[in-house]
Amino acid sequence: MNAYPALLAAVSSDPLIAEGITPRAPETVMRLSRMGSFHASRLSFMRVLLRRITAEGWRVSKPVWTINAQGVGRAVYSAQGPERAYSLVAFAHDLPPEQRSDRVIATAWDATFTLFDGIPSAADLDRLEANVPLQEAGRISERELCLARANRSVRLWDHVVDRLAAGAQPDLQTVLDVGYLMRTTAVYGSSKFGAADRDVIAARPECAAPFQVEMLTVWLIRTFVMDLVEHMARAKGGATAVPIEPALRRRFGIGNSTGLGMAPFLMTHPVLLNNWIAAREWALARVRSVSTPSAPEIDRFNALVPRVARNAAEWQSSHPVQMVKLAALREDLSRLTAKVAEGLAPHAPWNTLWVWAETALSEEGQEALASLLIEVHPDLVDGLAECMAADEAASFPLDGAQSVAALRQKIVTHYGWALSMDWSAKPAQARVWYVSQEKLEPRLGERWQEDVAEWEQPLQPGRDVAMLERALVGVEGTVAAFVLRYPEHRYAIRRVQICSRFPYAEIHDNTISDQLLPIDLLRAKLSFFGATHFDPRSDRWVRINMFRGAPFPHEIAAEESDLWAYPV
Amino acid sequence: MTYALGEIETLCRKAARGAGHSWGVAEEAGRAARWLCAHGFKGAELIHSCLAPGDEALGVGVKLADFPCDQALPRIAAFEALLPFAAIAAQRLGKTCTLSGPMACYALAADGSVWRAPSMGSAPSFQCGGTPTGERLIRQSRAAPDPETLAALRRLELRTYAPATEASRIAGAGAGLSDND
Repeated sequence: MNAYPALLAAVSSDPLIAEGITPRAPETVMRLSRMGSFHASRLSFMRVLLRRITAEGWRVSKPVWTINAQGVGRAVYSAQGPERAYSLVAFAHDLPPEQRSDRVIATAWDATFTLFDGIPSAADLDRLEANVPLQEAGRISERELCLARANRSVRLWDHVVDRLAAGAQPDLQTVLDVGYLMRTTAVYGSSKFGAADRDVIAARPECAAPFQVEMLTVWLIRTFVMDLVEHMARAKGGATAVPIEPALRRRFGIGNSTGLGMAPFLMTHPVLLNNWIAAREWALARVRSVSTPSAPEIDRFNALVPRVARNAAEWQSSHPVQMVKLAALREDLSRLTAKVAEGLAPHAPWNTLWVWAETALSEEGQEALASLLIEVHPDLVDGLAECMAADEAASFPLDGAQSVAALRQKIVTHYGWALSMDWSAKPAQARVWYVSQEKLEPRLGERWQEDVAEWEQPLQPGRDVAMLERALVGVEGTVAAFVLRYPEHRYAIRRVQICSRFPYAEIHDNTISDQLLPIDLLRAKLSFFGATHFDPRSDRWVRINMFRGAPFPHEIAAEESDLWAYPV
Repeated sequence: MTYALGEIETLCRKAARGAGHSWGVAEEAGRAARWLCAHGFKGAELIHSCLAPGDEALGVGVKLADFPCDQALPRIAAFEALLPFAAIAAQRLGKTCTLSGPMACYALAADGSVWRAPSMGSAPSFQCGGTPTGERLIRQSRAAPDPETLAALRRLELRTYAPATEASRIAGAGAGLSDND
């Protein structure tokens, strides 16, 4: 922490952080194994979105629903906020089963979507119908903010339609086992395939926090999917059909299947990553600083412990790595439950618990506890969500006036972890991040077995900064003069200059080693979205659940708490 | 058809890499194309012209942005391609800077605003200082590059992609368990 004087100054000037408590150090937090153990929290973007929608009393209507008995047609859901409306435009398709695939190389889906900025006209809908079902092969415009698609879970869809059509409710355990009726396989935002650039909407209050339009898209997709399954049941069962009972309906989230396409994001947006992590670490430090929580706060904590444990119990995965982690998490939560049953410390109970957890629990358990503690004090935490966006253009310019000596000092201070690695060992550089011509998506190759190194992407800051450091030996003068002669180091120099100012901007691990699990990168990012029930399907793609337990639009006004993410 | 500025930035970054620039310089090219389009210039065309073999505009630009100081500049065909770099200089120095060219003289303020005044055919130069005069450039949120430029940029971009193989299709993206259940 001493390497970041600005951070320490900010900590000591925050009256909500007690003497002797600091946010966790980057070398503790910014490790792939820990990032791959992050849990959603109340700072997650879907929580931020629904808090705003509830507080501002947004109204959602369904102005268009022209879907036939085969489940083909279009629908529009419009969400009206205080100043602007946003509309989900949905196209439902009749997809032959053999075409259904989560892979990004798919070309057809059960449903395709866009989020329209405002209320679409009939002409807009016709234009969108000609493009949105094509996804990457179509074009959208500045009036659209997101492009997405989803596929049915064949395990659950037919079961639910059949039961409802027969006048019965779906089986609870079957619902819990899968968790969703459809999973999205991509939710594209800012500027993708012609969509509006983030700059166009960034100044709107409702879009200030990261990924708010993407989260709104997914929340409305979930509503559409539930309406569609009930529509299909009515088409099949006629007067016998029933809707899903409201409490059970809430148990359905929307699934998502995510692969390597998302993995580079955390490396290509270092300041954004810093701001996400800093907000969560700051929140934890503030909560640990509470000396005597009120009785309602203690009640809130006590009520949440079993709900967090239930969430872990309902979380299923058949991936060997996640199965081990889940077993550890469940064990951790039993220990936490027992510890809490012994009674909380009279003074600074959260910090006492935290210090205990740092040695008693696995990383899964520690991160679950971090998210749990943050829940107890919304007043100390929720405002931090406003710090999670980033002005990336401001940190882009290279400081050429910096001396090479000063740059080297920054490398030694902030990249010691990279300098201490033996980059000449083959396993240390076993992998190559590249983009394939086929689908223009990131992939991970084997450097010593495939001829792909020529197309390597700059996604290995540790190695590249270590190479830079070697090139700087014996050099004097300014960074500007050095980089003029050696432009190949420009990328790494910018990286060092950014990451020496932003403590949580860099992952302190080798992102091209033979030990790399790309799913750790995916989980870190998805946890900030608010995803739950991470279920890796290999080392490089993962399924998750989003908005599970969340209120539907018609329920939001009556929602009393925002703790929907934790099953009762 | 119009394009989002993010699309132009990404395309030009990759094209610059495909043209042989380092990733760090390629990032600058992408940012520059975005800046130019955002201020009403033909950003994709200007940056594409800088990617020709032997062209020195990008080199002059990054040098200017890295270490801003008063200087005479070489005669560069795509002179406006230097503007985004002069804008970075103004941002870093925290004051209005001036970029003078044969056709126009630009004042770039630290807050990002840009003014254009006619030039008296002056020799190209950059000054750390100046006063906003002339017309203020209006910000744009879309770009409409000509199709030939787009096609040329895409040909350069293509060089950054590895040819697909069956191995990469399966292992590179990580097949694993069933994706249709």
